Amino acid sequence: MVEYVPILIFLGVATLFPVATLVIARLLRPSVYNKTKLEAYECGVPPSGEARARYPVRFYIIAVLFVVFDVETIFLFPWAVKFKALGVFGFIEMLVFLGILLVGFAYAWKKGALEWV
Amino acid sequence: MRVEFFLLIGALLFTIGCAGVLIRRNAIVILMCIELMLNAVNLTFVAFALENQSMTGHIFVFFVMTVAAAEAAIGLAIVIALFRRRRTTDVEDASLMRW
Amino acid sequence: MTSLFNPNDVRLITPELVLTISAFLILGLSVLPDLGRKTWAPVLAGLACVSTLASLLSFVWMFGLEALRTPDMTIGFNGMFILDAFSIFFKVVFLLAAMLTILVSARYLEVERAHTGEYYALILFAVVGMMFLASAGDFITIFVSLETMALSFYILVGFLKTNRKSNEAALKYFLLGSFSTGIFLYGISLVYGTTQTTVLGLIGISRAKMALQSPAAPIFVLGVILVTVGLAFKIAAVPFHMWAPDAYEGAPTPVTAFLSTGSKAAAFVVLARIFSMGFLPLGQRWATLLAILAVASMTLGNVAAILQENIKRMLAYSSIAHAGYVLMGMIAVGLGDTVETREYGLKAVLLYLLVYTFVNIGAFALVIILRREQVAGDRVADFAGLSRRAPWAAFAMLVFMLSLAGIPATAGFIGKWFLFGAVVKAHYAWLAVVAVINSAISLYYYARVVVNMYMKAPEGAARLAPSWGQRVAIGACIAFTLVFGLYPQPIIAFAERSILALAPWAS
Repeated sequence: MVEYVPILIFLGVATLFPVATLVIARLLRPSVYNKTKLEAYECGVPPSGEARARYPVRFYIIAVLFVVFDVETIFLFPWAVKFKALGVFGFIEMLVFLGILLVGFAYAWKKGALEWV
Repeated sequence: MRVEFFLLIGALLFTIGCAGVLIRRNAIVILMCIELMLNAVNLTFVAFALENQSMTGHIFVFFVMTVAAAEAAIGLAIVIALFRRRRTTDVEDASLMRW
Repeated sequence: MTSLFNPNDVRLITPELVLTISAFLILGLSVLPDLGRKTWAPVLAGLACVSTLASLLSFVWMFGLEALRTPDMTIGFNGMFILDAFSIFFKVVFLLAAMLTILVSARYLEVERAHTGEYYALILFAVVGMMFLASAGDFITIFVSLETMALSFYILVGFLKTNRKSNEAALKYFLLGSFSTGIFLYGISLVYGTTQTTVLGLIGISRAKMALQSPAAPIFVLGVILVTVGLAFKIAAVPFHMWAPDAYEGAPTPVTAFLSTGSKAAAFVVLARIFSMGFLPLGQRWATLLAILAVASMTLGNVAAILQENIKRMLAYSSIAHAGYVLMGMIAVGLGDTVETREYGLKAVLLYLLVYTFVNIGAFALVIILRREQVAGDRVADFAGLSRRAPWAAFAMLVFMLSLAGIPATAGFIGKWFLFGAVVKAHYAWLAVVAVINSAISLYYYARVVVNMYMKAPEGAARLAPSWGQRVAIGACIAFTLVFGLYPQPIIAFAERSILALAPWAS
């Protein structure tokens, strides 16, 4: 059990540090509240509109496309690492995979999903 | 590090995700909770793969991640379609059909 | 170490390849600009239908007519893919279900103003998923193909983008479907952790027993339970059925027909494959679990169906009840003390799913042809006086209702006969009694439709105008129900030849 003692100490310090910081900051800082201070911070310009405004739906469509094409790297990366070992089979396999993705991409393009409308 | 820790975290995340799906009312939040469940599964797979010294667990994670992405895409699409008709993403409002 | 890839394996997946390629072709063609007022959609429907037929015929190309009777078990892709009589049986069922669905779809989608090529591409993708599912020999293949099917269905259920019911059905089906996927996966991860493999055959031979005797046994059992729960969601067994009535009601009716037959049969394939190959040493335990699900599904499904006014919803609850009946066959597989009993149970499952596919698609086809401009046609009351408006349609519905209720001289009776026999053989006679009582309850709501058609006055004089595709599909379903109801030997023999080789795993 002795080898776990450092972990225990680490856990204790890790818990105490943020708690202590928050408490000390609370004690030291002056608490002056006014309208300007409570306002949402928008890069120094006067804020416009609600902070919890809705995003236009287009962002979701871009997100949908991004999510799908983003994860293809999951398969590309290990394939690239083991490219030599996989040989011709791996190459053809990846071509098939990319071909399928390309069909999806062409479909999305043709359907106008990439246009910013 | 011992494998049990990872398994425990996996189990905790899975439970949180499960609870979230059952409790939360916003479709997008439920979607996020489902993703949390899938990631808990990934963690469990990787932990077991480490313990068993086998690659299968790692490979399974690849497929779970890909399918999770496809699932998220379709889920978002369905939520958008619903939002366009109803202007809400609250599942309580999706109550045209009951019993 | 086996070789990475054997080019001969590609031959094994010819039927799936045919479908995949034509699905991509349809997807590509569906973005073509329309020819004036006419769209490409009917052409693509024809293409989809032809490709399912081509896929069906490619089995003959693979084995030749004679060898098709008893193909050997062929394992390809390093154990990931199993081609045996069992998987071929189900692939035939899926392809027939898809073909019937495509035949009844076109006119319905035109009425709904949603007739596009993507619909057929999605149907084909779903079938590809189902077919790989039937052949899956590894949890990775099972997961990926299950999701290929499920993701296609999520979109198909919400295919009527401007219809609020369809949107809502898709959302509910998607949320609960992916929730169940999460549970299923967690179960797989626990099973993988305790047995150190995801290959079903390897788990079954010795590792399941080993895992049971190790200190990690509770984790393994929990894994099995979670896998069962995940699959119970997919077959819509009570208490995991909540999505089914809503999804069935809101989805476009042809999709409902396909969902209630193809997707359900696909979930049963995995169930049969996982439980009889992977978890057979735990037979006693999971059979008890399935017995609880079966009793709950039958009872709640039938009682709730009585209360329904919407016929799609009524058929949804009826399909929950039917899932309960089919589970009885699996229970016999788990409990049977002899190989004969186990094989009898499996045979009953196969037979029932084949029969149910034709009967249920037939019943939904009738609901589909009642949908016309301005008429939703999905209330039980819409069937009032159908015998006078359209005697043939009324007769068809009569046949399907009687078959669903399990009246002798219809195919439904044969299916039920074997299922009930299976649990009796497994010394679970009380379950058969519950099922018989439930069949009697179900007679009430099936008869209500018949009474509406034959005894009530019609509400309007509007005539039905089924397309030729719908006529062909309904005709095929009636022929199947009546011919094999009176002369069931061919399908019994087909099911008998196709059961999984359980012997090596039977303890």
